Amino acid sequence: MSFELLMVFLKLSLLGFGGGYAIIPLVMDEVEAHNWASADKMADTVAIAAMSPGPVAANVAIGLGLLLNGLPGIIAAFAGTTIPCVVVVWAVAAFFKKASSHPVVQDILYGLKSVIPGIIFFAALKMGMQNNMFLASKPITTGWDVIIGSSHFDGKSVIIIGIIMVMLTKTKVHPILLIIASAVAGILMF
Amino acid sequence: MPKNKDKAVNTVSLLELFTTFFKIGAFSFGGGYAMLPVIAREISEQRSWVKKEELQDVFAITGCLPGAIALNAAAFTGYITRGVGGMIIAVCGNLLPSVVVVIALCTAVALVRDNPVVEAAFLGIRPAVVALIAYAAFNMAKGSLKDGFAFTLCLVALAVAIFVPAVGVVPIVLLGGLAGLAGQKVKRMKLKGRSEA
Repeated sequence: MSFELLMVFLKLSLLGFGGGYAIIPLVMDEVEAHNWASADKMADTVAIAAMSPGPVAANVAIGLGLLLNGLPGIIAAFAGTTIPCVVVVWAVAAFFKKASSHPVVQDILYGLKSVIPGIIFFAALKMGMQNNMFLASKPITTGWDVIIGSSHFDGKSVIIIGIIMVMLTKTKVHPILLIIASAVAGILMF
Repeated sequence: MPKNKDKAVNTVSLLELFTTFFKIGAFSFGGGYAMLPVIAREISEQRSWVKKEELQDVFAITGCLPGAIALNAAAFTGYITRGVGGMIIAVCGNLLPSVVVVIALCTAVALVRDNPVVEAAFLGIRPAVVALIAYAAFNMAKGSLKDGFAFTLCLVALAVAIFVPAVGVVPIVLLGGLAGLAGQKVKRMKLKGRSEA
């Protein structure tokens, strides 16, 4: 189990361009493929990662490692996150200045940075559907369920999503405060 | 005034590297790009381990590389101040607070999870997490979708993720990199053709 976790985190650390939230869709994909955790547990892990200090991508890995396999899971997550980071930075630090301005590198980064927002948005959509917030009165198995699935909306969840989105874009209120506020809202509403 | 201004770079102690990045890890929330100003203050303004002009390089490198951005910044700073050993020390120091806090929070949540009040709280938190992730997507889109081609790539990636889930997210990201390479090449050829005509 821990070896599998280690391999997955090694892979994600090498492929997770964009850091932080860009890694969440990749993690969700792996968790689903290995049938590691339910959608609500996954969402809660991301919530804890977002509330904890430090790099969010690493926090998600650590939280998932703990959830799936206790202390060995954490060690696997720690190693899987730090080893690629150290090796990659070591490898490129020496010639980075030259490499980063190379047109081929720039063009690839342009492509990566273009698709990553789409993938992250997909992760948000999927997390919302899997937790029955919208468009999912039946389980989401294929993408088509987004369109042909019944148009179920959980009003309370959608209201919270809307308010938090407005707060994030229009104010500078700290995300942690928003998470705490939404917990209070949850206690009052559900 | 930075207190270590006259200090030669190679005299940065490993202990100081560890404690500095431990502090950054413990007191910066929001991850990635939100941590960069804190890192800049600690390594450049307060300690002058990295010159102001070099900061741009540090952040450019950390944004381009895969993995956690803040962690990459820690590794790079460790490397330029104390080599490979410094890199390992900085990364471990940076991640240690995460490990402690995540373990504490996860354990606490697991203990009270069955409580109906806690359950209701999480029913409120989950939509907030969805909003946080969607906001991260919009934020990134604002910074990187600067022309029609980038915008199209983004929409195609989203559509493939939704309608052809068998493809998987990782291949979409990698294909995006290739599409960027191909698209920019075509664009340059067109520009060249136009200037020759």
